[in-house]
Amino acid sequence: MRPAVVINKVIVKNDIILAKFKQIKQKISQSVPLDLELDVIKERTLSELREWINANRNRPMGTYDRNFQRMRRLTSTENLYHTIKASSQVVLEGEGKVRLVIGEYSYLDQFAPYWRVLNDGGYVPPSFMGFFGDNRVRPRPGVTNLQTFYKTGYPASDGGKTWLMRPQNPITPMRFVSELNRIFEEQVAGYNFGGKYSGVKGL
Amino acid sequence: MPSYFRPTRNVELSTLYYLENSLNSDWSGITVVKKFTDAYKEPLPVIAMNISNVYSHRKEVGATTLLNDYVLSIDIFASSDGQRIDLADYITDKIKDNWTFYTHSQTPGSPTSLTRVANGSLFVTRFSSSYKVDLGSEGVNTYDRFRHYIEVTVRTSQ
Repeated sequence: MRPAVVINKVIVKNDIILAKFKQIKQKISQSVPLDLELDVIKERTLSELREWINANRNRPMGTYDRNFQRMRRLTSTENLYHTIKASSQVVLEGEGKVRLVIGEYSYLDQFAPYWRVLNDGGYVPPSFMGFFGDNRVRPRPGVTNLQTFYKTGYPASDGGKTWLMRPQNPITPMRFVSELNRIFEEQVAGYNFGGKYSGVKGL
Repeated sequence: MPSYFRPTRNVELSTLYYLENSLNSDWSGITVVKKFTDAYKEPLPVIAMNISNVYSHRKEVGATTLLNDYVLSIDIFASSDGQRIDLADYITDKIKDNWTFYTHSQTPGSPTSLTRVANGSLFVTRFSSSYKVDLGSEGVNTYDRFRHYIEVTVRTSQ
């Protein structure tokens, strides 16, 4: 009979420990403020979005050439990411309300105005004088060159060769807004905001 | 010996076949293409449809089979704003119903002809977005003037 009593005691003790542990765990989870949790969601969402944008880029970022105006508006997808990041924030609105903003249209329109074309595709850019890549590659009809392209004007300021660049195809869509919404929903799904969260509204 | 296509390609081709047939019977002069850039080579109105993404999950705990969600991107290039709205409405109405999922195969020597065998159906699990693509008014290409984008997620019935 003695061992049974011991076992009973152990079980009781374990129950108490478990109950205590649950209380401590609850206190810890309550002590993490909602704005910090949202900040983690924001960072994770942006990190995944960056991967998506870079995986879907058509041209490498390349290095900035001071002599020529690089066609940054059509090639610089890192700028797109940084613009979305800069307009993302966790806003404390008072009365316990917290708002998470990931990307703002107005900010994108101002600092990355090409975002709609990158997202939805289309728009065949007009012809210009320039060349491809850092090693000054000439355009060839029927050959798709995926290097960074430079706009030099005519004649080129450094006296080097420059060619007429005629974009043939429209920009292919990146659909980063849809992807952003999907990533965000996935991130939010892992959290329980105690019924405060009512839905997702992306860009 | 015929070569059989993989499921993702079959989903894309089955949807393309369904949309093409539906549009041919209810509309006239509408071209359906698979590649986005090909839409700019066809006369308006054009519809470009392709699978832009596939998300795979385990079908059940411990299983090695996958449950795939296919994201369908449908770009409408209309010749007027009214036509854009009508086409978007028509396509949404068509894809709300199930359509046949075909397994496609190709016979060596005749790569252009495909053999289709019905193998279940496809259905939409989520209507993600449907909006007017507005690229502004200055210097806009004729093809970009009246565009609409529809995105849905579909699954096979098996």
